[in-house]
Amino acid sequence: MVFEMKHITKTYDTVVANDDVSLHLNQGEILSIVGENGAGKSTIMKILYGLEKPDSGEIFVGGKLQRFHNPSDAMAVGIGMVQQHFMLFEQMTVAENIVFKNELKKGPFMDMERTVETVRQLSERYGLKIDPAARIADCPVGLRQRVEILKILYQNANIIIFDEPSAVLTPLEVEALLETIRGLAKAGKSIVLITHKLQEVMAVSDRVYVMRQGRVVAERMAADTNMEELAMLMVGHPLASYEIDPPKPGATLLETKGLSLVENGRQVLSGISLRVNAGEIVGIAGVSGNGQSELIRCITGLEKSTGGQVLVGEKDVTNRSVREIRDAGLAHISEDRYVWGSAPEGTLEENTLMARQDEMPFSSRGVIHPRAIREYAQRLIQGFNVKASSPAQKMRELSGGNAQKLIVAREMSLDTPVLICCEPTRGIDIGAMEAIHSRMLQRREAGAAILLVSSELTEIMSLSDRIYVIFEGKIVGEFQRGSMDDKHLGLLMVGGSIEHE
Amino acid sequence: MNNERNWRRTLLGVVDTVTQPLIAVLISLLLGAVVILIIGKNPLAAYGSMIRGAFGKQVYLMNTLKRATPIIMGGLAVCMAWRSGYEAMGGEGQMILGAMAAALVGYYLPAPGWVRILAALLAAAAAGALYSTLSGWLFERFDVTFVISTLMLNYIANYFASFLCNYPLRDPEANVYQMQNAQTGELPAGATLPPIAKGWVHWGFVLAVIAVIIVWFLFKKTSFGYKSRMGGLNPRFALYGGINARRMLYLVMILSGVMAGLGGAFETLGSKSRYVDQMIFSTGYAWTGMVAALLANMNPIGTLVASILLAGLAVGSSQLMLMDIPLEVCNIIEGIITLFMSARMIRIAAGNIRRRKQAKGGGEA
Repeated sequence: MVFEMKHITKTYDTVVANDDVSLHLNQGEILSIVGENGAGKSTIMKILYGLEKPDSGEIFVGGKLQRFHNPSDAMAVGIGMVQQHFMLFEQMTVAENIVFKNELKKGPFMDMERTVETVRQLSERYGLKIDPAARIADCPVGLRQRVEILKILYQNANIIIFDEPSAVLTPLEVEALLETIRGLAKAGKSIVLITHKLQEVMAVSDRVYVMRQGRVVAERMAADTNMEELAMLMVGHPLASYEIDPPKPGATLLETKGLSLVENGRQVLSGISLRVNAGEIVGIAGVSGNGQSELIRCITGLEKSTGGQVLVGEKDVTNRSVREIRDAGLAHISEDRYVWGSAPEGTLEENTLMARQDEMPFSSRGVIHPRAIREYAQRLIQGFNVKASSPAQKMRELSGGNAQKLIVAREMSLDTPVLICCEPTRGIDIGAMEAIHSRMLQRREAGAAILLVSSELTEIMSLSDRIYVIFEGKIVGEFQRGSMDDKHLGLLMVGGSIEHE
Repeated sequence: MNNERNWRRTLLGVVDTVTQPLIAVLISLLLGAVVILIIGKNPLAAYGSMIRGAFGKQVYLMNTLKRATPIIMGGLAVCMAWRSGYEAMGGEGQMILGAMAAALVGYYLPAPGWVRILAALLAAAAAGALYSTLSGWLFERFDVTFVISTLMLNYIANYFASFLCNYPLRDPEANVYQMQNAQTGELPAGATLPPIAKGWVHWGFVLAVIAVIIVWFLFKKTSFGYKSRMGGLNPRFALYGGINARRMLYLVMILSGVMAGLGGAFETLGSKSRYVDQMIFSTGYAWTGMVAALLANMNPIGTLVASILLAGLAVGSSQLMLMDIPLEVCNIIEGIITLFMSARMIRIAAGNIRRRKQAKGGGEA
């Protein structure tokens, strides 16, 4: 056993990120930790790497109890971590980056010859091909990751943690990475791989932990399990579905035709065609980071698409301004309530007024009517049971759930034919969640067309009349309510197929 | 009952904006006292003569208000831009061009006096607005940060004005051998902003106070004010809500430039009666205005109060020389006070105290 973590618990404010987590790693083993976003897998590894301190629990490395105050402490006992976001100096060479902080010196100066030679040897020993003299700025992402790995090897790490290493890579680079990981294990290194991509897990790991809601819910030998089982364990059993009447067929109110987006040469969205009809909730299921955010930004006018069309009602609103798209009859609960959905330093009044500031009765000829604004804010606060002391208090003083309810109240009160709900219940308590869900169902009854994006599969499954599955910027499946179980959906979401059934 | 609570909130808000600068002044006066003690003078006597020198007599008070006039306008220019999230510092350049435009139109336009005044004010507003728009355009089109563009444009404006009044537009009647700055021709009698009454400050001050009220109205009572505030608090939220960021940028920059340009015109038309080389640059009106605006947390009324205080500080500290306190020490004291007043920590501390009180009050929610 190269390390063992016992009964680790970690809370942030009121959220329990890790709840009594125990795990261990054996010599030369490739261990995967899988789970949905927010399941706590990154947190537990940050604790192991000294980036976060646990509230309770113990860490043993090489049999000895350790207490890490920062990553240097972890590094000193041979633990290295390849972060999702690389920490490299763009303007320096590969070799310089690798030896950073442990430079080889000749007198007071850096010994460049010896540095390049050492780096070259290191790269040959582990079969990680790089050019020591290349500038980082000229290296593609896959190579940069290789530099990160060499940096850790140079510091004599025995335990290497990879945090979502394939998230930024092209499929070909992923192949090379998996090969690298296998090679490192063969060379005697012990590996921890954090991911939610199950093919990779099955391709390289010896053993797998599944985490959900801060806990380890299962431990499997890779040989004894399969993607279906892991997907099932990751997602958990669905909540009891809401009793929903079958949808009454209505006109198509929101439609995209071949919507595409190329960003920095990367195809983020490829030809997305979907439609949402009146009186229908349509879910987009997918592991986050597969293009959902970009899709919604392209539909709502926050980002310009590079191909295809968006129609709201009969109107073509492709790449129009946010104002025009909203005026065409669309409201939008954004995925991040403090980044897009509100001004935390603004008052509740100011936050409820957004998008209506130029309408009667809130203003006429550019002059606002504070009384009407206050009454409106009060009405929304009461109508949606937002716990607040006054409409003049600041948004950031509300709890996450109440802030979210206020945003939902604002957007729903616009009474638009189309409503977009992105992660409408992320990070909020069950009470607020159910309140928001029942509002969504009410709007559906009233004939609105609702597009729901959520990384919570259970939320998608319980609310949607129809589900599209998105994977790597493509729609990979479309299902009617009840024709699909979460196991299959989960599999599609991670790029698997169901043809062999 | 609810109304009562709102009233209290408003009142608290007013008290807030006024007390914070006052606390800052008090603390900084204490520090200044230490400096005065070190050079062996009586701080109380020194401060007494400072206050008297700034506000004690009508002449002094009028002097203070005269000095405050361009500072207020510079402060309003900062309020406009910064509240919307554009941290532009081009007030100085805009003020210089405004002052120069007013001096030229007032001097060369063949028209009756009051027409010259109106035309001069318009020209100054336009000059400020155009110059301010230029930095807005550089930001929007080429991503040039405001700090860089506005600071550089300030130099360009100053040297351009300097060139004009040294060469092509130099006052032919001014004595070339006199040891003084170059200047443009003097405005004819009817073409300047007269004093409100005999021995009083010129009308520019009144116009500045009117500008304060207008800006206050814009901020508090218009949807433009709402949009600019939202853009300043969270630009993404504003975008998401459908506010046209580009339109807001230019509107805000134009209004901000108008304020600064008029500030320059008031100084020309009310005080100097001509453009004198370095008249805006060396006095630091625009920067003092920025301090005033920061101090008042971009509240226009607070900016008015802070501008008068800061102007009084400058006028009053010159009185210290009469007590044999060297000019340098006067400047140090002025610097300490300005520095301390502009320190954000005071506002943060005040905020913390308030929050702690609220936490204690608890339960209300």
